[in-house]
Amino acid sequence: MNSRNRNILLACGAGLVIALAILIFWSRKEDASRTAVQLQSSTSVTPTPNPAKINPAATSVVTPTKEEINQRQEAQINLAYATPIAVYGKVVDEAGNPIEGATVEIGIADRPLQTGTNHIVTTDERGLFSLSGVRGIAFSVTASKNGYYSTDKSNGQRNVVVPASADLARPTKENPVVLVLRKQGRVVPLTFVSSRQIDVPATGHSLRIDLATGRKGQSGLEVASWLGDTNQRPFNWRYQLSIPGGGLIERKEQFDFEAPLAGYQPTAEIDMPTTAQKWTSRGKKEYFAKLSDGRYARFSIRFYPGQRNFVVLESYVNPTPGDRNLEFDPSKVVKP
Amino acid sequence: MKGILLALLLGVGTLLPAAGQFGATARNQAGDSPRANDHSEYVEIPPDIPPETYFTMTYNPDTPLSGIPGWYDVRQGDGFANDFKREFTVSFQDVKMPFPVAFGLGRKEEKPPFPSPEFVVQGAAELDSRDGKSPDLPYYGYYLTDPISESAMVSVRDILKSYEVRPAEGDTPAEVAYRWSLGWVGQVEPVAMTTSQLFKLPEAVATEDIKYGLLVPFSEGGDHLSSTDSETGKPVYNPRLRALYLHKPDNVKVQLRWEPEDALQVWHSPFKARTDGETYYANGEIPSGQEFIHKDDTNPVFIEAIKPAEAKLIWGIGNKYHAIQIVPVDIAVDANRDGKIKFAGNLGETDAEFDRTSKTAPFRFWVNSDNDGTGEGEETFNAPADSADGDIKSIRDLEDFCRLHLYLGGLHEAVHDGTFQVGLEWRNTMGPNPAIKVYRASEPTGGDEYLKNNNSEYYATLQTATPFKTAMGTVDSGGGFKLPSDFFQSTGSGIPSFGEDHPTRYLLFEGVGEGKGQLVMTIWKGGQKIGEGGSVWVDLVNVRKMYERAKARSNPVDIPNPQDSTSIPALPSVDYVLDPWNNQWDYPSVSWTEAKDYIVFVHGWNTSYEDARVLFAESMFKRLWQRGFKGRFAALYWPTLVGPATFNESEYRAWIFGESLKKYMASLPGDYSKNLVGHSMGNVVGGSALRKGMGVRNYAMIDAAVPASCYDENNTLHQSFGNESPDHDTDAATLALAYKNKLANVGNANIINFFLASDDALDLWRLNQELFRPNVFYALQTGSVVFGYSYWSSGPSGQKLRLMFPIGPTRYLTQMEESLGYAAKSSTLAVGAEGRTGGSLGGAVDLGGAGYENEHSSFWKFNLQKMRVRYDTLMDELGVQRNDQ
Repeated sequence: MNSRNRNILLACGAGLVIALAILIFWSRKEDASRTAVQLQSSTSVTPTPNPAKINPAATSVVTPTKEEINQRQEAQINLAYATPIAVYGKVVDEAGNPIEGATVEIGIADRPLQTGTNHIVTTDERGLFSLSGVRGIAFSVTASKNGYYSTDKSNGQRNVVVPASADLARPTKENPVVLVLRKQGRVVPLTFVSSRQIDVPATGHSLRIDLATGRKGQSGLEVASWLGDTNQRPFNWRYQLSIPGGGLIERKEQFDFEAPLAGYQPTAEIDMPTTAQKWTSRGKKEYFAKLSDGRYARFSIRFYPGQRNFVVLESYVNPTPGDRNLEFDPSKVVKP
Repeated sequence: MKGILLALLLGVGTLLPAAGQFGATARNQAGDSPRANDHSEYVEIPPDIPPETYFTMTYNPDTPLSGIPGWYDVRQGDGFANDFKREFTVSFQDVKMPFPVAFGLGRKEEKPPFPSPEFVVQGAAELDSRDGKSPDLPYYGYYLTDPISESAMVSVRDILKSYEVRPAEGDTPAEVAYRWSLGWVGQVEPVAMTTSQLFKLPEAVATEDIKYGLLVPFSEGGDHLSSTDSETGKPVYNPRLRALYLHKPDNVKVQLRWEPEDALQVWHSPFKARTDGETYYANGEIPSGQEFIHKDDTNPVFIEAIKPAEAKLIWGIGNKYHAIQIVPVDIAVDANRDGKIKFAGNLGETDAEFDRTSKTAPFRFWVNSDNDGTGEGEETFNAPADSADGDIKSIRDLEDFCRLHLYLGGLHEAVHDGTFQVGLEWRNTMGPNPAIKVYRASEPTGGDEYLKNNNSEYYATLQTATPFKTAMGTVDSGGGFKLPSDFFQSTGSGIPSFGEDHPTRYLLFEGVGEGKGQLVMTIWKGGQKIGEGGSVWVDLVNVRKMYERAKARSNPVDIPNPQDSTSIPALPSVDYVLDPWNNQWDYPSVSWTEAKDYIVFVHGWNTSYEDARVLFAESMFKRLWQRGFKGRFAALYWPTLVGPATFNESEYRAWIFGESLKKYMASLPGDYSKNLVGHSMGNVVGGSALRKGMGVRNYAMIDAAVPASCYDENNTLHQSFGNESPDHDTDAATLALAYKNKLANVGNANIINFFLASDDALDLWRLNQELFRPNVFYALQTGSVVFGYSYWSSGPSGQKLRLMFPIGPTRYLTQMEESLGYAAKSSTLAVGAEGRTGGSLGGAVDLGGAGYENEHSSFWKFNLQKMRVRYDTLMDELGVQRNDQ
């Protein structure tokens, strides 16, 4: 943009040049001050040039240098980051009861090109919290408390302060953001297999996995898969899961930790034909399982069909046969 | 000995030195005998071959005869022979190895039968007389079997009593009336098992029967007894075997047995056949307790330690036995990088492959040459290398460490109380100066928790505290490094005392100097090294030799800004150039099996060259490596601009340099699965490359600064950033210059969106959309002068996106790069902030959640411990193998 440094002198009269220069000087000052006012009011948008208003008589102008343009843009950015922010919120449990003493982390996007600042506040007896006196262009809120699970609703959506035209609603004192935590239940010692990649034959030959260890075993989860031509997209892929001597039930609720008493099916199938309405090469399912020896388990399994065909398994097994409680505490892991 | 006897029998006595001058040096005969020479072609003499000189012997026969250090007497005809007596004194000095040493005495007799000979030996406690006759060379051998230590004098008296010479029937006197007797002390041989690694057991450990020990690494089992040296092409035996020399006169049967019987295997030879196809030993294994004739003392037997427990190896001739304590030892790294360290001999993780290294397939690791700051850590430039001071100052620094396990299957008390010391040394080094610093591992079981945040980074944090943070020393080519004795004591953090129940000790190490070599465990007593254990081959290199780099480049180098041109600007031509950065990468054979996967990384906006290389590329390579990625990693640098007001200009460049990425990707070997990781605006480069036909199997978009509308036109994603977006236009010419669907249906790549709704940097992206799209550089609200881009939705087809100059005609945009760089406003959030983005994306991973805050570059700026789960997910989505630990 160095060429913008140049004075474009076209063939015009000297008097007209001087007049234009005066006009430009005055106009730039006005423009800069106007932009600042607009940003402070958080309503600024890019000025839209209207070609109809361009002065066809203009024949010479001094354009700003690149440095000047950058400085002005940086000033606009910094001004936006100086927008005052006030945050009001409330933390409740799944029944709507206020939670006192919850930790609320409020992240403020307050510095361009740098990680924002996190502020920690605590809820009062009414579950309320607030933060003010900070500035930035956006904030996010996250709540947590020991003995409670985070939920999708314990993370406040990104709240945008600037630009003002963003669609997201901003919390106020009268209408605070509400964050929901879920109280933990009775946890029991469980075996735990954390996120293990397991290669699966794509030929339909089943692989048996011990849900307590995540390794190949004699009993547990059987996985078989069939793949189409993975060099093409989309391609057919199908997985069959089974628990010999036991069964599976799909787990659909995040906080459902008790395995059902009945209703288990010996197999489950995940089928992704090329004709699927929303075809994808990834899949994920969660199940409760009743094992052949009477133990209960829950597991999540992610499917990665492809040239390297594998699943990622995460599983929890209650070592006590007949005990359907599968609520887990990482500090109470038992070894298989 | 055999050759000497033959010489005497043939009357070639001059082959032997004259009596009185026989200051003989008993030698290992390697190199002397044809057999030894023959054998040497098959055995590369390892460092633990016993020294050639065991002792200096002075032979002093008091009755020299014919200059031969022996005697003979030949009589012919009938009659009685007189008593025949000879006495000798043999002095031993400078006995180098004070284990049982003895010598042989021989007598050759021929018909008629003679009375039994009698040797009287003084100066040694016992004489073991044994008939060692062999069919082809009958003689008697006598062997002292009690130890002769530093010096001793032994006198030998040979008495052959008078006897009658009678010819047998049918013999002619000339033929039969003779007898001859040969006494001989021509060669003194140690009668012992030897290797240079035998060491004297401490008194507390030694017993009456066992006074010496031998350190033996665990066997690899299976067929790993020998291999072929890649440089010489010759077979070499596995250095995990211990060569054990059985010194004794030839043709005498010997017996080896061991307890427990399943602890060891012993082999005549690790080579099943010679290279010329001739079978060397048809049956290589020596059964415990079975007598056998060992060929000669230049040819060792080979001990293979099967179990990680102490064993007793006993050998004997006749009824005399000696025993040594076999002490299994080993040293291991995670050579196959499966996240588990398993010693040979099936010790350790039950379901893991054991970790094997070799000269040609060493464990390759990098020198810790960066600076990771303090505390949680951050990449810090222009600061001393972290390995310079022997102090772990940050959790982040731990990604530059790996594990080293030591096992000692005996001698626990002696090590624990400091009688013995354990050390580390380099052998067979190559390259500048391989060196490591070693630290105590904070985790009592030597796991990799120091790289994880389980238990709130407990072990990682502990590793950065005293005493774990402080190097115990540097192991370099200078040698002599010994672990401090308190390393073998218990600690308050749960590390138990070294002992029979806890025979493994755990270390972390960092690379300090480049080079390759064999890292061996040594055992010391006082200032003297008494033995060596297992070894691992390690190759330490600059990390830049372990991954690839390329730089996008353009012609012209300085890309003109399109708004400087009143006519349609020409786009620069672009390609890439490889970027060794003083360290050309290579792919030598290593101790793990390379996976046929490439991961190519492209950085984002506002990234300096050094940031792109060190903070982003190197950090990502190291982390993928630590999580078990065994494929190849590459990073493409493209010339983004730096500064808050450079977003649009950088995006313009990003769309252009997609061609560089496409070309670079196409240059990679075709038999590798190619996967792409883009960060932030690097995903504009990635998307542009996809549009140009880049072939890639999986593509992870991290915090992508690309409008979601590029991939997904679903109107539920629509956002307003002030002015209208050309995404909503219906004019085809305008839509060709808008974001909408620009990256829909661009090849077969499986594209995954790693998004963070609360991404701070993507808030700035949104602000940029609001303030600077279209990019107006200079505008007067009076409307008299405008310089910048605009979108005029009511304009005529093909003229809605335009660049207006203060003076002169407006230029209507026709280039996508210019429009998407400066003029087009997005109608959606960026992909990286919009988890709902569908369209041609194959899936999404939410980077949000407790602890991840709002950080746009968490994959690189947060330490690995915090990001481990995210890296695992990234590797899953890229379809590459990782550790499951």
